[in-house]
Order: sequence, then structure tokens, then C-alpha cells
Amino acid sequence: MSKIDWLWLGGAAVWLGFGAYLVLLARRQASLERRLAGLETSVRSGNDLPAEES
Amino acid sequence: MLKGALILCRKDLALLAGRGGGLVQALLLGLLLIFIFSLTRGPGEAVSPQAAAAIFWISSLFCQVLLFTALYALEESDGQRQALLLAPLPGQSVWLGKALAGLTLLGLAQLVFLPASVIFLGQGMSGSIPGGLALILLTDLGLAALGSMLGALAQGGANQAGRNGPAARESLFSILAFPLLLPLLLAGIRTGAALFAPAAGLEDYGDWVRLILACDAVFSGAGLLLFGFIYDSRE
Amino acid sequence: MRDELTAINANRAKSARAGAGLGALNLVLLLAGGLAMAASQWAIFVHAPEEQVMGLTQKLFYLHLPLAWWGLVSFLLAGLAGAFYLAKRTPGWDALGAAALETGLLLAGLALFTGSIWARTAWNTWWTWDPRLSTALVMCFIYAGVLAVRRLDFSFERRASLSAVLSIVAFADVPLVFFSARLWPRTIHPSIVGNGGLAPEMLAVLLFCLAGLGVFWLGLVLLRCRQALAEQRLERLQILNGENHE
Repeated sequence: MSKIDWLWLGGAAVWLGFGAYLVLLARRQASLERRLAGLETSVRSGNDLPAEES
Repeated sequence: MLKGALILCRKDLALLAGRGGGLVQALLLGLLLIFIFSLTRGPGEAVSPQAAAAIFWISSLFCQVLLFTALYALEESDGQRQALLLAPLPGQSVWLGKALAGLTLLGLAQLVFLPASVIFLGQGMSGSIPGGLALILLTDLGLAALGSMLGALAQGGANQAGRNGPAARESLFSILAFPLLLPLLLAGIRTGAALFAPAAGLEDYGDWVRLILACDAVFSGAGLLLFGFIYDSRE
Repeated sequence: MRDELTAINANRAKSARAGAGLGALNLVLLLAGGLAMAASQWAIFVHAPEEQVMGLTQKLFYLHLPLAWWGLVSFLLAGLAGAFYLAKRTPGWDALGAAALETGLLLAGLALFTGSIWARTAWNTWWTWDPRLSTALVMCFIYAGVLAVRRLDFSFERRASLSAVLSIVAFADVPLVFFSARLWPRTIHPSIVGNGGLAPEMLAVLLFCLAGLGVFWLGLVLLRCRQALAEQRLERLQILNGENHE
């Protein structure tokens, strides 16, 4: 590999590294939203009135 | 603080000596490492003084991890940690007491490791022995100061399994201890090589000694200031 | 009662505006930083002069040094955030510390990678025991360990306290590691960063790269910090919800 190729590799690595971290953050955010949705569902079901007894 | 620390130190030493398990395991591990590394030298080959010193200190580090794990595990049953925390002692006494106990046990173990290194790794001790031993002690001070802090970190989780259980926390102790102690390890190796063979030449001896003292100061300061934040009753 | 409700709603609105403001700032920092980094790549390839001795290879320095610099700043920030958390016990400091730890590890890792490529092109070896590279490697190990501790299933306060203490100790260890690596006898490979001064054009490109990465770094830390705060709030809600259902 020529010297310019190594320079390109270094630059690409930096961008890929940051990109990978941002993807990781996005996945974590999606997981947070799933947990929040699950929490909302369980709060909602907890607030439901119990069925009336005949 | 010192009186409390000495009482704790005596208690821990008595308990560990009585049970035998903690020190014996640590000693055996260190000796095994020295022996296994000695197998890597071919017939007629010599192990360089620096390599021998490195093997000695790596064995000491592994020994230190096991010792401090055992020392802090003494209070992990039957709520004894809470009892210790409720005792009228400053938190730093626990850190200092464990550090002194660990230092004593490590020193005893190294009294075995040093001749083992000489015998199995084919070394001489042509350097200044009192000076060399003093430097080993100085290096051990730093190991004990940090080991006592990290040992507290590895506690808890006795009732938990998997990635939160005791095994996971103990392995974290090693993962954190080794890189943090690298400066002391390097200093110990360089000064230890000078003990085995002063002909190896050490122009910057003074610099290494200053580094050891700096490490001792930093780790002791960290222990004094920060130990209370990590040793508490929470799991 | 009505006054209390008004006050609660006013506070909620204020928080929402602050949150939106912070989000906008975050976006601006990341975009501006990204653009600045793209511009700095252009500057590296086109504007920066070629160095006499090492040639094109030397240009890796414009990537490597800013990464190492901001990695170190991240670790300093993690240590400071840890100290403030221990003093004040505000969860925000723990969130900031967590963000600084992660970005610091990322930057130090990238600094190692670019340093390794530089060593390969300049001296035909993938690794050179340069004190700075060695220090970066050891710091990566230490901070990876601290992040591993954060992933254990502790209570929030214990995790935050442990992380804070370890971040402080780890940063205090940095100069010790550096000096020990400097004293350690090495091969005759010269130090990666030369001792001579930089030409003005080189200095200008370096400062530009440093500034561009700095803006991006700030945006990244802020983004992660906000996410960590959201994680904390969710954890508290889950605990409360669990208590309500018992």
C-alpha cells in the first residue's frame, strides 16, 4: 500500500469509528424507547379498574 | 485511625493464618507461575535478570489479587460488613488495616518467591541485598494501598449469580489492578533486575525510586480520601 | 391548589423548553463539528505541506494528535465529574462522567489505531513503545475496566460512586503511567511527535483539526449525557412502577 493509501485508511477509520459509536447510541435509544413503551403499558394496565363482580 | 487499623490488621492476620486457605492459595499460585515460566527456558539458556524480575513481580501481583480478595471476603458472611461499618472506626481504618494485613502477607509470600526466582530462573543476587529488599518493600506499599481499595470494590454480590456474582467482580479486580499498577510493576522490574545483576546497569535508578514513591503517595492518598465512598453497606 | 398546579405546569414547560434548547444545541454542535472535521480532512490532504523527512506519512499526525488530545480531555472530564458527583451527589454528574468515559475510550482507541498505522508506514512496525502510545494503551485498558464496572447490576448510587472513584484514580494514574513508560528503555525508534517546532502552515492545520474535533466531541458528550439522564429517569420510573404494583 502506498503512503496515500495509509492516510486514507487512517481517515476512514476515524469516520467509521465515530459512525459505529453513533449507531450504538441509536440502538441504545431504541432500547430506551421500548422500555418506556413497556412501562406505559404496565402503568396503564395498573390503572385499569378491576372487573366488577356480579 | 492507626489503632483501629492495627486491631483490624491483627484480626485479619489471625483469621487468615488460622484458616490457612487464603495465603496458601496465593502462595501456590505465585510459585506455580514462577515454575511454569522457568519451563520456557531451554537447556543451557539463561533467563535475563529483567525477565526474572518481571516473573517475580507478576507472580506477586497475582498473589496480591488473591490476598485482598480473601481479606475482604472475611466480612462477607452474616452481615459482618455492616457490623464493621457500624463500629466506631473511621472508614479509612478499614482500608489501612486491610492494606497492612495485605502488605504483611505479600511480604511473607515474596520471601518465598525471591529464592524461588533465584533457583528456578537461574539468577544470582549480586546486587545490594538490603537496598533491593527495601525497594521491594517500597513497591509493596503501593501495591497494598491500591489493592486494599480495589479489594473493597470486588465485594458484595455473594447472593447473586452470573455477571454480577462474586466471580465476575473478582475478575474485574484483576482487570483494573493490573493496568493501574503498571508504573509500579515497571519500576519493580527495573530495580529488581539491578538486584539480580547490577552489571545490567541502571543509570536512572533515582528516577525509578522517585516514581515508586510517587505511586505510593498517589495510591495512599486515593485510599485515604476515597475509600469511604466505595466501602459501604450497599450491594 | 390552583397555584400549585400552575407552578408545576410552569416548571414542566420550563424543563421542556430547556430540553428542546439543549437538543437544538446538541444538533448544532454535531453538525458543525462534522462539517469542520470534513473540512479538516480537506485541509490535511490539500492545504498541509508535505514534511521533508517522513513525507505524506506525517499527515497522519493531524488525525492522531487531536484524537489523543481530546481523549485525554475526556478522561479529565470523567475524573472531574466523578469528584463533583461524590461531593454533590447530583445524578447529572454521573451522567456526564459516563458520557466522558465512553467518548474518551472511543477517542483513545482511534488514537491508538492511527498511531499504529503511522508506526507501520514510518518504521515498518505496527507498534512502537512510544510513551504516549503506551500511555494511551494502558488508559484504554483502565477505562474499559471502569465501563465494565458500570455495566454490573448495582444500585444507581453504588454504581455512580464506584465509577466516580475509579475515574478519579484512573486519571491520577495517567502521569505515573506516562513517566514509567518514558523511563522504560526502548528500541531506538524516535518519539512519534518530533521535538522540533511546526511550520506555521502545519500549525494552522493542526489547530483547525483540533478545533473541529473539539466541537464534534462536545456534541457527542452532550448527546450521550442526555441519553444517560434519560436512562436514569427510566430506571427511577421502573422502580416506582414496581413499588406501585406490589
